[in-house]
Formats: sequence, C-alpha cells, structure tokens
Amino acid sequence: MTSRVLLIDDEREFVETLAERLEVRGLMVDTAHDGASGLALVSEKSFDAILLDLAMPGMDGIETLRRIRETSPISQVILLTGRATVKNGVEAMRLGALDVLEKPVDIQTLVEKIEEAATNKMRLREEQIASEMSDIMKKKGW
Amino acid sequence: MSATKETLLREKGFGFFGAITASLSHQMNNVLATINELSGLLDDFLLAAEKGKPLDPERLRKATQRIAAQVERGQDYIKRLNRFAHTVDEPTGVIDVRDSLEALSLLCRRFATLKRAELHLDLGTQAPVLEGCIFDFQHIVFRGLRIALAAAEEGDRIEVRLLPSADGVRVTITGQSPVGDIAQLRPLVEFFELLVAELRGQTVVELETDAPIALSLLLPRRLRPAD
Repeated sequence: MTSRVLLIDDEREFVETLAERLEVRGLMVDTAHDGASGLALVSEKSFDAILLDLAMPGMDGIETLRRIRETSPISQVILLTGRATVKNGVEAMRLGALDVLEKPVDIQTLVEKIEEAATNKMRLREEQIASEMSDIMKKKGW
Repeated sequence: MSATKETLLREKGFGFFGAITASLSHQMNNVLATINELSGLLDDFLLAAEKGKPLDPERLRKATQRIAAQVERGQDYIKRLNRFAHTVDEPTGVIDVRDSLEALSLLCRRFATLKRAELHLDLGTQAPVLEGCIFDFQHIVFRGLRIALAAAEEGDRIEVRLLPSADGVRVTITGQSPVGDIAQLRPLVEFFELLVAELRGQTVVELETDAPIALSLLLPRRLRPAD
C-alpha cells in the first residue's frame, strides 16, 4: 500500500523539492507551510508519516506536534530541524515524536523512517480497532 | 562601573552577537538543505535516465535555475553575516546611522517573521552620523526591537523611525497591539535603559497595559561609555 506523507515546513522551495523526490519514490505527499495549515490537513486526512519543521513562523514545531498528538494520538511525527539540540530532542520525544532528524537530510534515511512510521501507525491502528471491538463486545455482553 | 554591571553588559553583548549569528546560520542551513534536495532531484533524473526514462531538458533547466537562486540567497546571508561580524572591528569610527539601521533591519527580519510581524523603517531624508562603535549602536536598537517584538501580536507592524535632532540621533520604535504582559517586558526594558545610559543616551519607554509599546531613544553624537 502507498504511504501518505505530510510535509510541514515554511521553507517552500525545500518542501516542494522534497515532495517531488518522495513522489518519485512512490509516496503520496501533501504539503503545508505553517503549523495551522498542517493541523487543518491532519484533521481532514490520514497520514502514515508527518515530517515537521521545528522553527516556523507563528506556531512552532513543538506546539504543532503537541496539537497533532492531541488531535490524532497515533500520528507518527518526524521532526526536521537545522539544529537538533538535546533540549529540542527530549521535548519532541516526550511529546511522542518518532524521531528528530537534522537538515540537510539523507533521502534514504528519510524514506526508511517513513516506512518505520507507516508500520508503527498500522500496528497502533490495529490495536485501536481491537480495543474498540473488545469494548463493543463487553457492552453487548458477548 | 560595578563588576556586576560590567558582566551584564558583556554577557548581553555576546547575547546580541549570538542571536544574530545563530539566526543567519540557521537561514544558511535552510539554503544548504534546499540545495541538497535540488541536487538530489538532479540525481533522481539521472537515475531515471539510466533506467530508460528520457531526460526532460526543461525540468533539468528549472532545477538548475532553482539551485542558482538558492546560491544567490545564500550569498546574501553570508554578506550580511560578514558585515555584522565586522561591526566590532573598530571601537570608534563613523557610524552611518541610516545604513546601520537598514543593515540591522535585514538582520532582524527573521525574528519579526517568526512572530508574523512586519518591520517597517522610516528613515526620513537626512543622513546623520555618529562617532562610536557600530556594534554598540546596533546593539541598542536591537534591544529596543526585541522589546517591541516581545509585545507584538501576529500581523503587527513595528515602526522604526529616524528623526532629526540637533543633539545627536533620535530613533523611535513603536508597536501596534496593546501590551498584554508587562511583567514579561520589564526586564527587557530595564536592560535597554541601562544600555542606553551606559552610552550617555536618553530613552523614554511607554509601557502601559492595553496601549501599544513606544520607545524613544536619543543618542549623543559621540557614543562613548559613561565614566
């Protein structure tokens, strides 16, 4: 199944080029240039992986990550940053990011991370469905 | 000057230097990350060609033009960084005030962008000069801008005006939205006032809840530390 990826970054040329490269590799890609637009897309569509810039105008990457996880707790978010500090990394992982990668990023590493994200998301979704089924069965007394 | 005051001034000076160089190096890294993707895209075209897909000259040309545009952007950042680095070369020299304010505005553009605010310069028609260190002059104005940016809301316009003065140079910095959290701004204002006084300048800061921030700065023709 084709993975669907969301790129959120205010650097337009970077986002458009990376999107093009990921599409060449068979991925479906949506793009957003700020946190608010990214959140709007997250509420409309389901993504296997979300690549999120840390430093953005308005809502920064950490705040966007927090809100994505509130809206969609099984979202798999990979932070992209020009400077991966220990503080940023710890905060991002605490909020549930899958990983923090430094720009410039190696495309093969990125694709492997996206595949990992897609696998995680599928597993978590299956667990979610199993849990919902179990709740239904309990309510019905089956 | 007390040891504490001297330490504070030195640390804050380093802080200004660090903030500007970090901002510009971050922007340079974005340029390099974009060039990395664009050169990777050219690689992707070549790989596809090796597998039999014809090369599209127009797509290649567009990619190389985009790389050239990023190189130009990167050169611009490097020039700004280099110019800023040289502001500490001379402890005293001629400061072209208009030129220094324009350069500082470019350096601070990203800080305004991150707050989704806009910096607007009104430099008038005169071309005043000061005698002193460009770094000191830019540091003072930066601290004033920092206060205005801390008070700014999304969409705000921060006006920096250069006004004629017989006694030296007058710069005003005004915000747009009413100030919310005064407590957050007070330490910034206190340091700004200390810095201005240290170079024998005068400042008036209008800091009231529910009114826009307004700073007025008067610097003497000769910037030199107070005894």
